[in-house]
Amino acid sequence: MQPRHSIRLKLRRILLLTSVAVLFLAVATLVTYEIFAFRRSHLEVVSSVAQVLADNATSSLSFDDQNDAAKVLSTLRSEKTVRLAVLYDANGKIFAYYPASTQRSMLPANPSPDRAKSQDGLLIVVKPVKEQTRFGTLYLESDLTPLYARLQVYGAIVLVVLGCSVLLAFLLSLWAQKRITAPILALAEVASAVSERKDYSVRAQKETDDEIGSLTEAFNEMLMQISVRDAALQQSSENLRQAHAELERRVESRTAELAESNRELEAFTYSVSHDLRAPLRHINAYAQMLEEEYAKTLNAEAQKYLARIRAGAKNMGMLVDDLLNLARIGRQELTFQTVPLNQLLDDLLGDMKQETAARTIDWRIEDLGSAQCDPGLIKQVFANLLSNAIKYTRPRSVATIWVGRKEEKGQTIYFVRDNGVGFNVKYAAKLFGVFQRLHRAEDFEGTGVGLATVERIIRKHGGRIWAEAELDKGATFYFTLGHRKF
Amino acid sequence: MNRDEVEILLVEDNPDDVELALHALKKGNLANKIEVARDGEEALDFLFCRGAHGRRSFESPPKVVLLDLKLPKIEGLEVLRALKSDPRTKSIPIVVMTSSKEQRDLVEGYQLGVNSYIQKPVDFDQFREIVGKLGFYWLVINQCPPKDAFIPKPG
Repeated sequence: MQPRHSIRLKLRRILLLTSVAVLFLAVATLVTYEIFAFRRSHLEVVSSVAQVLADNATSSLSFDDQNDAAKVLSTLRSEKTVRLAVLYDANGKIFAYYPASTQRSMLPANPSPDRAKSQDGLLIVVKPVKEQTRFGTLYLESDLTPLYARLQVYGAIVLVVLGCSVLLAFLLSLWAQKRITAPILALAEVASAVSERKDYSVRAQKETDDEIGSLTEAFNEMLMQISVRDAALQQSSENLRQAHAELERRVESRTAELAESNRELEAFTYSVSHDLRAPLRHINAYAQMLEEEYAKTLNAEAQKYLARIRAGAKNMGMLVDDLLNLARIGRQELTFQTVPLNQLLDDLLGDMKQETAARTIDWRIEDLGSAQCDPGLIKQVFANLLSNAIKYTRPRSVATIWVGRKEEKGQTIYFVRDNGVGFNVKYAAKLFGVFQRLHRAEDFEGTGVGLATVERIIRKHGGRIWAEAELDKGATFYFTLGHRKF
Repeated sequence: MNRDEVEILLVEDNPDDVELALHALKKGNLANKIEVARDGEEALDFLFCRGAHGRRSFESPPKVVLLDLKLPKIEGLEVLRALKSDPRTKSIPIVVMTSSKEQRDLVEGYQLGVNSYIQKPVDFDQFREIVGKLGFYWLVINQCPPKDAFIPKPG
């Protein structure tokens, strides 16, 4: 509430100061003029008194009658302001003076020249005493006592007027306060209500048609614009909220749909796992039973067909297993651990003993360090890549298989290289597709699912996989494990 | 021992699988005392001595039950749950034999107290070998639970 007082106070001060200053200026001017005018009129009065005296003293001087001269001068008794009057003869000697009590030594020795002027706070008039010829000189000295008395009266009047006008100015300021500050304060009140309650619907009351009135209008206009914007803002935030809720709802329903289709997929793979394998087993079993128990009645060709049936069933069994594995990886959550890769490779080579027993393989395994990955899945990656390397080096009398890593652009790249049959790089794009094979089944067995599985595992780790090869020289598979943080 | 006593209960709905299993058991001379149940309900009727098998006694259960998981009427895992949660039947050795390789079946089977879990291999040689070994193990090597094991203790 402090600011309200300050504007009132300021207004009051301005009004009072203005009135006092104006009054002061007026009084000062008046007094100055009065002093000036009084002096002039007083000088005239004294001059005319001196003239009368000079005329009266003519005979006294011409008859050299000092008593008469003193009598003439003593008429000055009625002139209260005349302090000193001296009459000189033609030779400039003192002839008579007034008042008689004055010390002779105090009298001015030489009155000339003739003059009428104020000097040292006194009025001095020097006049010749003459008819046709000059008989002498009259010196008259008058003080300004009436002036001072007058000025005292003036001062009193000024004080009274000043008091009255200050009072008037004060009353005026009270009135002006009401007229000027009240609307401003009302405006300030509305402004603070707006800022406190955030209520942009209130309006300030316009009471006058002056600048404050237009200020109020401008303020109301501003409030209106703010309330329009506020409404727009609220509308758009409401829209945003609705859009967000809508999005949320859609995400929820999509998630539910996804979960549903996941469940369906799971049910599907479950029944594939169970129902697809059963008839395969039956085909295989009956073919074998036929082979074993009716071998004598079957000719060589029939037996060959039976072997083909069994091989086909076995192959399909592997396919089903591989596809199920691929599907399982797709929906499996990764469990990241710090995996010592060389230990993992040692385990793997132990598992593969049967596969490699009849082969001569020169293993060149570097130190791979540890990696953050899902141990089960990365084992599958290496199992697939190593098993491919073993498979495609079969024509070599000595197979060489390298497993290593290199650092490139701050990323660790792992690789598995072999000196096997390789492949033509123009088919490299097909490598990681499901059922895509670059070799004939009779040359190298396989389902065409292994590298697709590997690719899916690497992708789930946030890494990538690629291959380089040269036909009949060997192949290298590179992969990274991405930069997953957890 | 009663000569008619059933030693193996094979719970299998697929006639081909029944025949192949019998064939494999026959090779190992183990096919004499086999009862086949074609669905879960029939298996439970047999083991709980009710319905068509009302004259059977809890005191002479089969030495082993070979249980498929995918069965009509009552699923294999439900049969397993019913058997393992009843004091009269929970001592009967149960071997799940299934085509399924599903992890959750394995986990649930063991949680319900299955005694062994075998996935039927696609290869018939392997199948025969497994079934032969299985029969030999449960009928010959394994010590059967005593009759007391099937009588619930009072209270």
